[in-house]
Amino acid sequence: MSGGSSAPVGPTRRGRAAVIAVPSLWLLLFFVLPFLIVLKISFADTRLGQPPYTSLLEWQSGLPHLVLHARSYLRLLGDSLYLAALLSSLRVAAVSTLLCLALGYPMAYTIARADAGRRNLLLMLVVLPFWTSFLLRVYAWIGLLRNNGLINNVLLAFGIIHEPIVMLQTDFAMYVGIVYSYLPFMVLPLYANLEKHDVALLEAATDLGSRPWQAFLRVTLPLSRPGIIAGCVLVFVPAVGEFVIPRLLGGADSLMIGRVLWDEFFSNRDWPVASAVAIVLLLLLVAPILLFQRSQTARAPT
Amino acid sequence: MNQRAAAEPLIRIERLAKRFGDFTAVDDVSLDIHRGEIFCLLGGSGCGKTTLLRMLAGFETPSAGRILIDGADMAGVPPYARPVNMMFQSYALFPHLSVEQNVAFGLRQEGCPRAQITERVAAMLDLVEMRDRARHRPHQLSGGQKQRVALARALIKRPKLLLLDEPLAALDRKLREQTQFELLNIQQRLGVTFVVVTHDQQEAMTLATRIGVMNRGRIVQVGSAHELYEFPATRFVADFIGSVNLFAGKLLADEPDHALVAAADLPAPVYVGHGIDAAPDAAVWVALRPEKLHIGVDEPPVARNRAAGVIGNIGYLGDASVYLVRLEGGRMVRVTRPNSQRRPDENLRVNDRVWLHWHESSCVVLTQ
Repeated sequence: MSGGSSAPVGPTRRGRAAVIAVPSLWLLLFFVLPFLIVLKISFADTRLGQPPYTSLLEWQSGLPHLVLHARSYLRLLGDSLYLAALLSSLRVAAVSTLLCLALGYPMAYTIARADAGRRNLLLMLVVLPFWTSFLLRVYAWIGLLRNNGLINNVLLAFGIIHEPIVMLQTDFAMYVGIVYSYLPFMVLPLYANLEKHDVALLEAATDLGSRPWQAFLRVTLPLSRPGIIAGCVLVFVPAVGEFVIPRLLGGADSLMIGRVLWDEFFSNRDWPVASAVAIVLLLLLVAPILLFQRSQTARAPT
Repeated sequence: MNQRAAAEPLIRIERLAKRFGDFTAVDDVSLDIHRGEIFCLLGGSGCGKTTLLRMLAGFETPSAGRILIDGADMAGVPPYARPVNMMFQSYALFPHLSVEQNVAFGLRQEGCPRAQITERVAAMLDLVEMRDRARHRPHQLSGGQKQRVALARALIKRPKLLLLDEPLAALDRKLREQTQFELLNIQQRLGVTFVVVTHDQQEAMTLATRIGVMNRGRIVQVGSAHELYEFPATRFVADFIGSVNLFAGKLLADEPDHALVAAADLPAPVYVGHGIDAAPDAAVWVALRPEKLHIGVDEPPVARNRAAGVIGNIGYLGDASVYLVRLEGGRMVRVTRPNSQRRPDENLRVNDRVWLHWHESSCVVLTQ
């Protein structure tokens, strides 16, 4: 029958599907598919040739067989290098996150309390470094920190020190680089949160007997919890996998999981182990984000 | 209220001023507020009433003058050390704390023992009838419930003085009326002195023991609702409290027992039943409240204090009607009459010719 009476699809439903389709497709193409490929490689074995890993499907007497190798994951467990690198990365990321929080909170607070004109200027200054290439900024730190760099030269010239302080290729330089690079990711979510706080709440706390610092601890700090968590996640997660900064500023002995991954991939050409490292790292980092999201939805006002 | 306590004011405000740059928000205000009273600061927006309240709370530092609370000068005393609590206009409830925790905030800050906190919070929540909502968060409460929690939180420390900034402005009309009486009830039970800031004259008249009318940073008149309504001191007060018909005129005669005022908009001089004590020929205003004007089709039996006109418009309010009457000179006059007083045979319509008349004691003559 022509002009069939199938259930009409409402324009809103169709529109909604179309709107969701774009990000869904994006995620599918650039996250889910690559993830599945990496997952597949992590279960393969190495081989000489192109590509440098075995296929998961093997044909035996005309039938396809799925061949999974646990070798990569067993190596991760067996060799203490990987665990050490992972723990070291987590430690570096945690320390960097705390440093960013300690520096970023007062910055965000000051910006949020500044009057409207100054606030935009200060925000601009926070975002301004993004206009320069990330690598360039890290190289600039090399120029500042090396033995005959700007800092040492100034200190020597003023006679404050008599020998240059070795800063480059130390943990100190690495932390400087990470904190410097990720600070805006801490400041911006904290600012977005603090800026929304109602000043009347602080007045109410003061009115009820809180000194300013007590009002901060009992009202501002708990209310900025979502901002703190968001900022910490944004700094911690990329810092764990950070590869460039430890490589350029940190010591040769700095053991970071990102660097191990690089070495497995490019030096050892062990793609399966490199993939397994990536998968484990991803799972370890997704867990805290999911926890954060659950705590956010639980707290959201109805 | 006991006479001795009433005699010494709880709050003495002496020549208080607050300037923000060029703008004078509060201008040379002196005021005594007595123990146990509800004092309302009434005025339009920007009249300085909130600034005055915030100076009492300690959130603003006076530019000049001083505030004494219970005899103690409050200069340099920070808000957290004052025997004063405030209920904020937007309530300012802590969104991350439950109703119970909000109310307990002040006591916890004092380091009050836990058992005592629990007991006092429970008693306070009973008082405002919010016990069953103790574990709710502010965002789960209605406007009226938030208002009660804010009141409980501000009262828990038993302040000598409670400041209320537009306490009912966020409530809808029906709830506002009911809450006014709840506030009165609670104030009477606890005996705390209230200072209420409001722009709503109805609210001020219901709540207040005394009202201070503010305009441009100054207190224009202080008095009970009755005094302000019946004997306004200035045109501003007469106009601000209720509605009024003001007639500009000139003083013709001023005797101890009566006065005569020639008003350009009225056909004959107004006979006022009391002396004015003003300079002869002074420019004055005669104020006539709409409900004190009598309206009717028959010619009034008295020869003075009357005027003829035509009904221009009628507003039916249910309990009363408002008539806008155009006098012969063109001046519009507002008259209200309870509908229960309407004679059954009389049915006033627009464009009807009517007579207005008023008693000599109904006129108030204003010199400012």
